[in-house]
Amino acid sequence: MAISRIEIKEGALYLIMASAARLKEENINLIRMLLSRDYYVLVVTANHPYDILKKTYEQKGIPMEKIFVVDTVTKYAMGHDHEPTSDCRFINHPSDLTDLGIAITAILNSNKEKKISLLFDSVNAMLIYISSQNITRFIHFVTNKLRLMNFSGIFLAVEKGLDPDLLIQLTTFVDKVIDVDSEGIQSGELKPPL
Amino acid sequence: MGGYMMDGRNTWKKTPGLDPRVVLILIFMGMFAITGVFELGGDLFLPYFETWQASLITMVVVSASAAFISFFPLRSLRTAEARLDTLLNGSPAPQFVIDADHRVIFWNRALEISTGIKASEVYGSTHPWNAFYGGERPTLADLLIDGKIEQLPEWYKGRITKSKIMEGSYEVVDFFPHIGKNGSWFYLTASPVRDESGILLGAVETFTDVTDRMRAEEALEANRTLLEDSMELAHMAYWEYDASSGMFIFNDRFYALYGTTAEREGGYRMPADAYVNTFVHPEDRRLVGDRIATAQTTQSPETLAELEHRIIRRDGEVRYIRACVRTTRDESGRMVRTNGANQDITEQKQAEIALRKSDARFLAFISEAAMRLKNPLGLVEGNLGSVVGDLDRGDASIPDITLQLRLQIKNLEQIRNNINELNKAIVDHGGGIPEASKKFLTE
Repeated sequence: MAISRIEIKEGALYLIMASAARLKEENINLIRMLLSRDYYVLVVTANHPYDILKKTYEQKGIPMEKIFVVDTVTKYAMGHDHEPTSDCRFINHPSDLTDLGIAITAILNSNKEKKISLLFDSVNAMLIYISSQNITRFIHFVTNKLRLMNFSGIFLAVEKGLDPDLLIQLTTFVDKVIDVDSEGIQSGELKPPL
Repeated sequence: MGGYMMDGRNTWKKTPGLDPRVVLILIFMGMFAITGVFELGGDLFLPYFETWQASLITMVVVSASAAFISFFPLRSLRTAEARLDTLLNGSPAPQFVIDADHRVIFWNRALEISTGIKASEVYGSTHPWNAFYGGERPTLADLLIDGKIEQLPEWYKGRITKSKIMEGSYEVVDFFPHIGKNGSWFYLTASPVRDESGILLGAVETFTDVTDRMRAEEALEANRTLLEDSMELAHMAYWEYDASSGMFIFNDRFYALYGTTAEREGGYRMPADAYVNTFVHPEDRRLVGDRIATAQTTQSPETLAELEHRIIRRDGEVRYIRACVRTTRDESGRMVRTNGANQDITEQKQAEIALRKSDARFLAFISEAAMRLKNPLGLVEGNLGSVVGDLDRGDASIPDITLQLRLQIKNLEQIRNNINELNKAIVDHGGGIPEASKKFLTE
């Protein structure tokens, strides 16, 4: 299914599956789609450093005004702090879920009045640093937060290689699972929020 | 020829040589014979009697009559003695009799055979112990003669009992290592012998050879001990089921396995439903009840069944039991016997559960590790491909390329750590891995 055709409902949560090679491309497509629907986008990235994402978005003609980034990898990869920016918060390490949770909560709380969608890139990148059990707990925490604040959210994942148990658990946290590679929607109709 | 008589001390003893009454008659007859010879010469030609002659003739007649009359009771007594000898000697039970002075006055043939000691060797002696014991000590009969009842337990430790039949008699089962090839067990009784006025005449000791029975009991006891030991080692206990009353018949071992006692349970018999409700784990009661019902309705001549279930001991501890049950029926299908053995398999079960948990944990870890290796590697591969694409297109700056490569290096470092964790788990879980391989896998 083309990303542009996905109907993002306000307050709904999605798990979007794509191949590893297409993950960056789908990230851009989703940002573009969300912005076109007047969403502010909170990008939580464990896959691409903020600087790379920003340049990529700019190269693709995506304005950064309505994008805010929580970057979990730049400080870890560089080994030192990034220069402060107004549109990004840097986390020390991808496995520092406490700081990550605080950062997300703070941004969401300070933008309650806005139409926000969270884009999580990606579950698979987090698996390098965190056990599936902790990822499950963390995503459960984030999805609860989004539902309570009536924000929508999109979680990117590479399906192949994901443990079936983890996939089942992630599926229960979201309203719809979309596999962009198979051009279909696995879970069919939207499920009521859990 | 000897006989029994009472002497002046009121003791019962056997005297050797001729009977005294016979001796007395012979003396009298001898005296008259000598007197007759002397008188005959002087008075041969005087055919009339004088006074002393008349007296002499009267004495002869009276003595002869007395001797004649006394001959019959003596003969009668000797016949009785002979009969008594025959009776005692004919007894298959070894016996001996001692008088009040501890002298052996009777030693029957069976005892001769048992001990290998002739009666003639011990008659009159005071050491009958010589036939039975390695050293000097009193026989049971000796102790009774001396009235040393308080010493009986000392000589026959815990094995002596007072006869319930004969007043003053005692019974004991004792081992005699010097009798027989490998020693012999005898059940022996000793009774004091008293006359009509209650005066002690002696004591009789009777032996019954119970060696075969004792050997069988020893073998039985040895087997029972072996069985008990084996059951103890195997954490097992046996039981029976009385189909007619619907009662289980348990034992101390069974109750010990269940952390209770017969006293606490009110005996060794327990209704089947009481057992199930008392000791079987609530979640397994239906299973056990069904199995009991099946055993009662099955018509096969003999059925063997095994059932594993949980029990709750009296102390509340939950244990796992494997019950093996054998049911035997007669031709009409009537249950004639149901018995079984319960084995505590808790440790085995816990090990199995732990192994299953361990296996499950290991499987979960393997799955997790595989996911955390395979998927991220694909991600790194994709990201590196993206960097190469940027380089090919010439639209990436060196700092950007460097940052992306640094990130992928960090990712690869973490993936290598994850691989080491996986290897450590494999080493910890699996046995038989050589040390060198362990070192290689975990460093």
